[in-house]
Amino acid sequence: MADAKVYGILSAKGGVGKTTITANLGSILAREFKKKVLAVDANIEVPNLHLYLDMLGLPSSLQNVIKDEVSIAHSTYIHKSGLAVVPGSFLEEGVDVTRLKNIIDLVKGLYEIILLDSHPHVDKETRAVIESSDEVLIVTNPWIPIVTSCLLTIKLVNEVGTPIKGIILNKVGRSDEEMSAREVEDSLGLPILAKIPADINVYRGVEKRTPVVVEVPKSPASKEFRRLAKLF
Amino acid sequence: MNMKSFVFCCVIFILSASMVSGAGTIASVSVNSYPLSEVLNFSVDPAFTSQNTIIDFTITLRNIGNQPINATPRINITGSGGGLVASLVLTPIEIAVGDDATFISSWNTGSNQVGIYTADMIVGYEGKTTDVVQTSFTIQAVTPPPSGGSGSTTPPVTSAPGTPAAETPESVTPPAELLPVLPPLLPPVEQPLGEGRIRFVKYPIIEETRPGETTTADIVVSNIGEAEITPVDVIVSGVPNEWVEVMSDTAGLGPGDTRSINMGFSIPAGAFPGNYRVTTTLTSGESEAMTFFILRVKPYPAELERPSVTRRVVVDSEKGVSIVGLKVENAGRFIQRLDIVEEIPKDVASHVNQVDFGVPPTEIIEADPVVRWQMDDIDFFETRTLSYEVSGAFEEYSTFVDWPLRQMNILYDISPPEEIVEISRVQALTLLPGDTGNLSITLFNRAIVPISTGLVVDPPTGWRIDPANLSMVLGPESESTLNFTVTAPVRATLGVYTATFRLVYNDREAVKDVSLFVGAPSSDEFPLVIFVLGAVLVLTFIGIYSLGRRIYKGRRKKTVYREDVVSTVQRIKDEMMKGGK
Repeated sequence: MADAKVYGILSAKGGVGKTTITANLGSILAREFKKKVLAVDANIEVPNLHLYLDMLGLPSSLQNVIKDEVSIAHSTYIHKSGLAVVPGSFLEEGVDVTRLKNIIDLVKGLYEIILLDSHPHVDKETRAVIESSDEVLIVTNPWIPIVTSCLLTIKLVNEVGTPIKGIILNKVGRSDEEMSAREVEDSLGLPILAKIPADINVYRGVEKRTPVVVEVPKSPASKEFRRLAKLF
Repeated sequence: MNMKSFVFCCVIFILSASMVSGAGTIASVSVNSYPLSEVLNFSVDPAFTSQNTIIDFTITLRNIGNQPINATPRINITGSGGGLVASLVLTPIEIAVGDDATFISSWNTGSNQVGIYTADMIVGYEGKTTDVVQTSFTIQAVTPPPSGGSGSTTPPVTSAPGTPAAETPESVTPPAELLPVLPPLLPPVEQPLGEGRIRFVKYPIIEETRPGETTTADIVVSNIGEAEITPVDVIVSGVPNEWVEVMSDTAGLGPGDTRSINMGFSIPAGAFPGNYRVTTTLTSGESEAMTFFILRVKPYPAELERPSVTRRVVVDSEKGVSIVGLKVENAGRFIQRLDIVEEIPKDVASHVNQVDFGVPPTEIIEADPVVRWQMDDIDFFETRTLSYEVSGAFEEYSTFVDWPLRQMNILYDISPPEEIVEISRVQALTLLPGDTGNLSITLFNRAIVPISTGLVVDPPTGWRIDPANLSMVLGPESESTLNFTVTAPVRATLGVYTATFRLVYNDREAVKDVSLFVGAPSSDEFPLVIFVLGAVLVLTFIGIYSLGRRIYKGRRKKTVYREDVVSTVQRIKDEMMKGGK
């Protein structure tokens, strides 16, 4: 099997839906497309992928791996969708994120796709994710301030030199006044890969700690995730 | 196309053909069963190991079909050259619809060469292979101990009174005592010591434990000579001093006297897993008698929250029996059932009749012997011990050292899965007494396979609902709407009545209560006409409003492209890329 392609999932602001995208894209690729997918919670400071996947109380995390306390194999857990997950931990401090790339390189041979959920700022954590990625996906909402904040992320990505696969427009359709996909596309000069609708099922899924693609596979959001997954 | 897809397509084809031949009457189609499993996990633990070490293969399957399956996994281990090294055939287990089952099978790396190995897990049922999943592991050379030898490089622990147990430091460096080589023959049961003659009446052969745990080992000796042995000192070597504390009397041992030597082991959390040869030497002056056993420190399992088994073998030379104990510790939650499958080597017992079980097995799988204990009620953090005796005291270790547990099956008591088939929509119905109306209900099959169902209708007393029962096949992930004719009794009074629809599929049942309303009969039709007209007007207004809103939204999106918004963002972008912020 060829080495996995590593995708960093980025945004400069919190709450736009990076973790939702990671959890759902990873789950649908594993569950419906039968891909070998690993999702890594590389949001070192405020990890919460495990909260979205109902994987609480696990004995080890990415932070333990970075600190050489356990191997990455011992911190990889299988979600019920078939998605392999390396969770994060709120409890570990003093973690050297620059080691992330070395750790990801270790397991590239075991998967087809690796998704790195990142920190919602433009800092060294995000830089470590970009440097560990083969391509990045930028998540935004169709609002001018959030779209504008993407520029900071795009600038950092360009500095590192990692290609950008495109934009995932999340929470679409909440208002008539939001930016259209074409406006976002033209503003950022990058292609829109998916327009995930503001679907109540997504929020219910977060509440139930189950990805919407697993909980309500026929929901509008799940259909768009399915369409997005076909691009991988 | 893999086997799963092929079978699935065949079922869809049969279903489609049946529906065509049935002229659209889905009730005439019959697809009763469709087995399908999904491999959730296949892993080896530890993935990096050494020779003569036991490793665990873990397989987790989920039954995603519509009938129970009897899954039979097999693991083929091949070396880097492609040659088959071992084939582990696991005992099948029945998995109910929607349930998960975990199989854990252990294997001793033995003297296989250092290198990378591949394990192919082949699973199937009803004689068909359905999945092949691969993993790999590495047998590494063990780093030589710092002192360069496997002998006792640290002073032995003696039974001198007042010797305290030292602190247990954590270390991952292989200690000098680690014994990665094949074990030697057992020493003689009777040996001269001083003026007398010692008999090892009871002694361990193997004691398994884990890093961070404590365990004990006891040796019983007897002076079968005619003179007193005095004094008798006990020296224990073969493990770091900090691990062991010895408790034994050093006074003289008279003819016919018996003495117990008790050893307590505290294994540090960072102990290097492997086989340690613990040697117990009794001294009297210049004279020595000794015996030894294997203290096996097993690695932690990769998944901490699951049951584990450790083995203890003790020989009672006086009774002429060997006692095997399996300590089952359940660190796994939500376990519905746990199976322990033990294969007793032919050297130990060639037939189940030669084994005296302390805890009778649930099933004798093979008489030569392979047995299974089933535990349906083991609690979280409960420990149980399974034991049995076989005749004879064995002279060599190899039988016992190469004796991993054959298999452990774990069935999880996960919360009941969501309904596979549900009655998703029911149309409300209001009737006048004696009237007949139509009621429709919609069924939704969540499964990815066709499911055969039966629907039974239980109408309120005096009511009539046709058909009263029907059967049908629901296509994968699809809806079906069924129509019923409902007749209210002529003398029905005003109120709400309940009809019950029972949907039966596999071993499950989905029940839906449907409310039927009886309105008051009216001699004057005018108010009803007014009501209907009013309803039509309201619906028309809602329709026009919705249409207008959609047209407005569509127009804005189609016609208003906000150049100013785009140019604002682009200007910020240009400034930022030039170095500003």
